[in-house]
Amino acid sequence: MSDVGTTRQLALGTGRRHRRILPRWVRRLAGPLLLIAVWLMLTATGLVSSRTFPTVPDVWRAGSALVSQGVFLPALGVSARRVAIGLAIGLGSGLVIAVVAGMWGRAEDVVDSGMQVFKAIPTFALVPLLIVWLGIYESPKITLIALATAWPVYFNTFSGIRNIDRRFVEAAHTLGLGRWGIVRHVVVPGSMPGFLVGLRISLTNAWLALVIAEEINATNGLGMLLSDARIAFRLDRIVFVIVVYAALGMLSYALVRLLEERVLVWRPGFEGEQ
Amino acid sequence: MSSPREPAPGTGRGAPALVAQGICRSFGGREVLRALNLTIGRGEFVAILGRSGCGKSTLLRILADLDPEAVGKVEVPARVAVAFQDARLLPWKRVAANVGLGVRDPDVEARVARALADVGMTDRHRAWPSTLSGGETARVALARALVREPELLLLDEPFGSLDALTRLRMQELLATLCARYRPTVLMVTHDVDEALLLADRVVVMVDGVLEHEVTMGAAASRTRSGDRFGVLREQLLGMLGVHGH
Ligand SMILES: Nc1ncnc2c1ncn2[C@@H]1O[C@H](COP(=O)(O)OP(=O)(O)OP(=O)(O)O)[C@@H](O)[C@H]1O
Ligand SMILES: [Mg+2]
Repeated sequence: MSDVGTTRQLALGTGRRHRRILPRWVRRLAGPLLLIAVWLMLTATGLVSSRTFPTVPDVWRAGSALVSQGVFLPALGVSARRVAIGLAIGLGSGLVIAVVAGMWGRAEDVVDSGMQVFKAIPTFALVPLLIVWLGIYESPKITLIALATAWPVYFNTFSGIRNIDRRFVEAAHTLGLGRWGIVRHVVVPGSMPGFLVGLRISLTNAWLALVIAEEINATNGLGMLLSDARIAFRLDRIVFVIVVYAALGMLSYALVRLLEERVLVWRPGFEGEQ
Repeated sequence: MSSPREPAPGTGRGAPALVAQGICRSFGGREVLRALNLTIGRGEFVAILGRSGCGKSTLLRILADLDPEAVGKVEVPARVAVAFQDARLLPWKRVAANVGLGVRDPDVEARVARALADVGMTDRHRAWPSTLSGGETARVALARALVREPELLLLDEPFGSLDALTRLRMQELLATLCARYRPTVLMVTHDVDEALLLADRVVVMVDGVLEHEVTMGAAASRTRSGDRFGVLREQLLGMLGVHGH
């Protein structure tokens, strides 16, 4: 009827529409809260029997008990330490290998194809081998976490370095920067987006690897809590530990997001501090 | 005015600022530059015209020490600055940091501020390059080259991607800044008018050598309304193989 095209109402004011109403992190928190609400409703109404899945108060009580008995925090500490050490080794070696392969042309083919093979092996299939080689205490656990976190950082940093526009390297050269200056002002910031993608995957993998690693001889750590709860058939404790894993995973995800917002402000379309 | 093969050396301002002799470069057996010679006097502004793909950028890259595979002899001053057609501002550095990058001087900030003021970009010094317009980007690239107080300034179609109006503004700006700082300039351009307006001498690249050259002489000829402007324009277009204007 009307031959006028579409008319769009543009956001009024200066900022984006949602900005003033709620900060982003509050909005992001709504998802998990919604899940808890669903859980609360399903169990409180008896739609799901508490023998199948514990209620929210049950889990809360189980958690408080574990904390007050002085069991939970030491276990968390042991597990966090494993993740921290494994992650440090994994991230460090992934980064170093990526820089060597990315910066030193002759190393690229050998290193990269080697890492491709490595990627093709499911890391967790190495568990029996690690036990045979390294025993059942800390070293196989930390090694497994390191292995699971090294390759995401490697691949993403390597492709980050590879994808740096050669024209920026040339520009830096004409500005009088030497090799080290080019690494510092072009290669490092230029490969940062790739590295951060890798870091995010590595953090996810770290918690995953922790669960698998702590099934080896579970005498301490969150893995012990989990296997003890399973043996005692304590659903409330099992779910409590699962909730803890979820919280840790989300916390590390939030940390990477924070880091990205700090480091990648320069990217087009990135809304950060001005 | 059109001297074959061997362009005359600089306009007599003492020792030349740039000497290139017997520059050869081929890509996979295809010769692009064939024993090209070029001498530029100190403070002289030379423009290079030539058909697309004839090797102008290749020459500039060689002079900027970006091409390790070229053959020939190049003498350039210690301080050479380059402004590329695509600006090449590092996207992860703010405007001021881009301009100051690689400047070795305890007072970098003051120099950067002066360079940005020269190109009228003072109030954008904290902007990210991705937020600049095309003209602003070109101005920052020019500031980044000039802040180094270059003895030789290499410009590869610095305003090639700009609209006609912005281009005119930038040409005026470049002329002003060159009059102020008197660097030696070698500029590649597609634009005959731009070459005539800015350069002391215009050389035309044909088949991998600098085949023709036109010296501008008195500054009076450097306005569009000047008598010689039209004549020189016709002449250069003829050398570029464009007829019937
Ligand atoms: N790295 C390269 N590998 C292969 N061929 C190249 C390379 N660089 C340039 N060439 C070729 O050399 C020739 C000259 O290129 P150049 O970029 O110097 O042209 P130009 O005169 O600057 O052209 P334009 O005016 O379009 O920018 C072109 O035919 C181009 O295809
Ligand atoms: Mg070119």
